[in-house]
Amino acid sequence: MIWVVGTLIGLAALDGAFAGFRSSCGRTGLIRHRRQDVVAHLHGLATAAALLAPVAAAVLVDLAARPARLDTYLDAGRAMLMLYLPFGAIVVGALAGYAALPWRHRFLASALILGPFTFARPFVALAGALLVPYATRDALASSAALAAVAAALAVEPVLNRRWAAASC
Amino acid sequence: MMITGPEITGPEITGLEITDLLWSSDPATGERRQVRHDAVIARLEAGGQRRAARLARRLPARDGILIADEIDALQVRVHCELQRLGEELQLPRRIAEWIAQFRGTRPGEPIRVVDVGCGLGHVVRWLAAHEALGPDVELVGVDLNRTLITRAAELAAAEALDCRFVAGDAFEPGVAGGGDKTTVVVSSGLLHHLHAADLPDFFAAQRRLGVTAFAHWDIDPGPWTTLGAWVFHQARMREPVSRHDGVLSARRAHPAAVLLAAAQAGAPNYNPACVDGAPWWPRLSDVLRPVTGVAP
Repeated sequence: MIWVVGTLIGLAALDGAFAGFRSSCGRTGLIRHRRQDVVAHLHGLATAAALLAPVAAAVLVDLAARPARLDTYLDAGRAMLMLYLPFGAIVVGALAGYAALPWRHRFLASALILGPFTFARPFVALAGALLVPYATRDALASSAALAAVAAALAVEPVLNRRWAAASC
Repeated sequence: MMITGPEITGPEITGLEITDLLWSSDPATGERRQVRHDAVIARLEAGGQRRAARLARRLPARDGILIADEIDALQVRVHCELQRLGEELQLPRRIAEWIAQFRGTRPGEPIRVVDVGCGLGHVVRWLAAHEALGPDVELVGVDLNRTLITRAAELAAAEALDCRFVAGDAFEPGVAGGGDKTTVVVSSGLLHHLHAADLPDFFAAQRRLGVTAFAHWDIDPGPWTTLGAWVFHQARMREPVSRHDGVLSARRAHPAAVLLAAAQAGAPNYNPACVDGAPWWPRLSDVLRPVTGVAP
């Protein structure tokens, strides 16, 4: 149980942090923006936590009332991880490559993995949620999965709105 | 203030970038002109660019005129996003590497680096921030767009960077500096904004000015580049105008043969060089490549 829950939380946290980073990129025009990048990651993390909290709360309330449904939710989590885990592992590997490669070849990580995977992310996220009905045949777990994906995908737009409001 | 339609001179360019149409100035005085909204839309529709025309309809306008302040803010946002792409492409490092190699042939000689069409001055500010070229280097960014130049100067001041920015035509005598110093003219993503017929004049202007060397980076065109530009701009760029213009930039970039012929026509004694990769093989590490020339 722990690895399913822990991995989902870890991936959601990473996804939120990266969404925060993407939302802040290309905003200020500064050359030295390491500090802003760190803050942006934290904003993404906090926003993801805030948006995903209601979904987590709903699942916990359901489990408190009906503990026997734990296996259903774990099946749902495993189904989602079938897609998210390899996807996330490739992204993390590309980031490691970006950090490790000589500067001339860093763009390879962006061109081959990070750019296309950012583009594919919403579709992969949705596909993962759509696996849940097949895996569980459970309406509540499927709804929770869809709501979690919607929350994760909302992180960047929410932060973009914040940026837009700040620049007005 | 004069009112005008989009100012694109010379032969018709297939596919116009929206941002090329949003800003216009009097060539003689540099005074900004107002731009008619309907003229921008009509220009795009006339070229069969229906999607671009749809995007242009959403541009901020009042009484049929594009609202200057909001257009300026849009231009700055678009260029900030472009800077992010330049970071991913390691563009300033590539330019620094070329200049450092050139400088190695003239050790100890003070040098001026002029970035033509510098926009927000990303390359110039990066070179200044990283002191990438060593001592005795004067860094100058030049652009016709006063809004971008003003913002570039503000950004440089915010980070206490040793570089300067000038609004105007870089090839007018005295704009970028006097002729007393070894001068290297660079640009990034500028050449595809020029029509092929105007390119020889672009290089000839540098020869007339007596620059010591030039190196102009632009997109190596091809199907892989266009596909990559589309994916990247969809994934990374927020502004619809950025997405449109970024992909179009890749589509209308000049092949090396065109750039080389233009450089040889305009600055034949500079021994120009420019190489494209094989069109059907992606050059992931060299999406942008330079056309270079060094005075004899």
